[in-house]
Amino acid sequence: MKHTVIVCEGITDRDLISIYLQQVSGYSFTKNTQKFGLDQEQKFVTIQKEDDFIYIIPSIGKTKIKKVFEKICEKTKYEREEDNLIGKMYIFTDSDEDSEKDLISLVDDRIPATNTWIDIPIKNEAFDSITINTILLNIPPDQKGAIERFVLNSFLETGGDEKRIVSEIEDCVEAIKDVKYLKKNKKYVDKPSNKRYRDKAKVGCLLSILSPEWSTGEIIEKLKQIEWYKLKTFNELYENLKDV
Amino acid sequence: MAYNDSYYKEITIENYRSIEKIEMKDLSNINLLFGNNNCGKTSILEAIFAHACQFNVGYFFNIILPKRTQGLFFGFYDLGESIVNLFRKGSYTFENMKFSITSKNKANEETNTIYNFTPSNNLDEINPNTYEEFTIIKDTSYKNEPTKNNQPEYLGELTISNRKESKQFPIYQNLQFPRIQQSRDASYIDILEHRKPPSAITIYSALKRTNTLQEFIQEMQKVFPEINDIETIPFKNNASNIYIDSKGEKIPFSIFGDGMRRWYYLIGNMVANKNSVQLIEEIDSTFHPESIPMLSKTLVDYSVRYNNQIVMTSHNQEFLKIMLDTFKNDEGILRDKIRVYTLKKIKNETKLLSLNGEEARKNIEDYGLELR
Repeated sequence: MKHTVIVCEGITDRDLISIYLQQVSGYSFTKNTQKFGLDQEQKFVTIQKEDDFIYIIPSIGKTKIKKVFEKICEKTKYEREEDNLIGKMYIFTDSDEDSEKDLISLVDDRIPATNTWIDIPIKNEAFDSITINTILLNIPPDQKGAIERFVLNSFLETGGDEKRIVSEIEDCVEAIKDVKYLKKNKKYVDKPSNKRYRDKAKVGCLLSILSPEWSTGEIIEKLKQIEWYKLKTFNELYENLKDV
Repeated sequence: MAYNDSYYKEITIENYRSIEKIEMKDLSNINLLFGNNNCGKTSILEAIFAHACQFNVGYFFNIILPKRTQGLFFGFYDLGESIVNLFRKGSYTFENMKFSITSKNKANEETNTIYNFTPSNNLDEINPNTYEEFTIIKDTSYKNEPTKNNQPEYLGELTISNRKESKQFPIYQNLQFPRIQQSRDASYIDILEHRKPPSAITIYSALKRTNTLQEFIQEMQKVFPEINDIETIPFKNNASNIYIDSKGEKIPFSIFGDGMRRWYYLIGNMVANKNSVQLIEEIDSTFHPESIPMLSKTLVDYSVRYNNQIVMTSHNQEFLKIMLDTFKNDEGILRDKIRVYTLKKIKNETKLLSLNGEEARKNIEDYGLELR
């Protein structure tokens, strides 16, 4: 049995990653049988391929990644069944405006650099030595912003109708000013969190236009309809997951 | 000996039954040995009992040897083999067997007990070096009576030693030994101990003499509200029995269910034998889940009040979960008073994994981990 944890920031990241791994690597959803001591809103999903299990956990906020990371380490510290040990952990963080040092400090200072594998040692009474092979990935790697910005840019690159739709949505949403909406941080309008908030709205608009019947439905259903693996930039984004 | 001087903080057991070496650290008031069947939980209780009894070998042998066979042995070979089986095979020669237990108290002072056994020629039959194959003699007519020359069969020589002294005990099949002060007062409670009528009388007597009977009845009423009173009533022949006063009726104690009788025995024994180590087999046995929270509270409360250190076994995760949940709003008790030790075979090696109550609860609640 192989157990892998993927920690990401938000629900959108969780769903994109899970759909991507289903489409590209042949995993499928399965019932959650593990517990990680998570907060109620940190709803994780489990995908499975034969004896390989991947748990995709949204931390719901960058500042909560550390706590999720510590919970995974603590669970591993107490695990007494060798078959249930977590062997690998991917941590996806949005680049936003953070430096590499900032990103590392959000998780664990033992991590030497982003995009570099490291064995995190865990003290476990039952086994002589245990490590979790861990990588901290900042995505998208070459641009600032969250996954929503990456989705929009990916569609801009494809050209055609999608490019035009995204451009017009960008103009439309940016033109909406001085309203009580579209502000996560109401005091500082130019904060990155507010830009991300607007990008979320733009992705919502895009998906509604691509599929109007979705607009009052679940985002996950719409996300599943998009053939992410055909988008070149998406394959590059999740390149690291190919050997999961 | 002052309680703190004898309170076990650490225990190391070597070569007792199937145990090669086990170290129990950071012991507290309530120490639960958790694990699957046949993993060695009971052996740990027995070894601690041997350590507490130390030179009082009669108390140790007369409780530990008969309890696995209800006191029935197929002749002295069977009894001899029961003694031999106290020592781990492979760690000794048949001619010189040895197990040891070492403890440290709160002041980090060490006490050790070493049992050495040299079997007599009478036990050659069970010496694996004597015959390639051997058969136990199934003498069902066996009675523990002296041989023709009026001497019980001699089984061998036992030497018990600690760092300061050493005593020798010839072992005969009648298992009679001089009574010697123990290193620590101890009670060994198996799952049927509560069914012995004299035990119930002994506890009643202790509760009465220490003026704790009323308080004890109030504790019992929290779980068994039908109890109005507990009393002894003499028969005409001067013997007496214990009765439960329930709704005005005097009902013999012996006809109540095992759950209530075991509760009475376990908790009462803590009053009757204060300042002792209580070694309890299968603590969850006979108790309904609804009674576990009150049992847990009373065990903690009485262990503190009467200076008892409890080491108990279970393989029931439901029991453990309910016990730990009982103290979910009192992390101090979980952290300081409760320990959970799991015996687990990992890669052919038996390991003892330890958690305090707070960690054990987190394992179950947060991570859904199986602690057996």
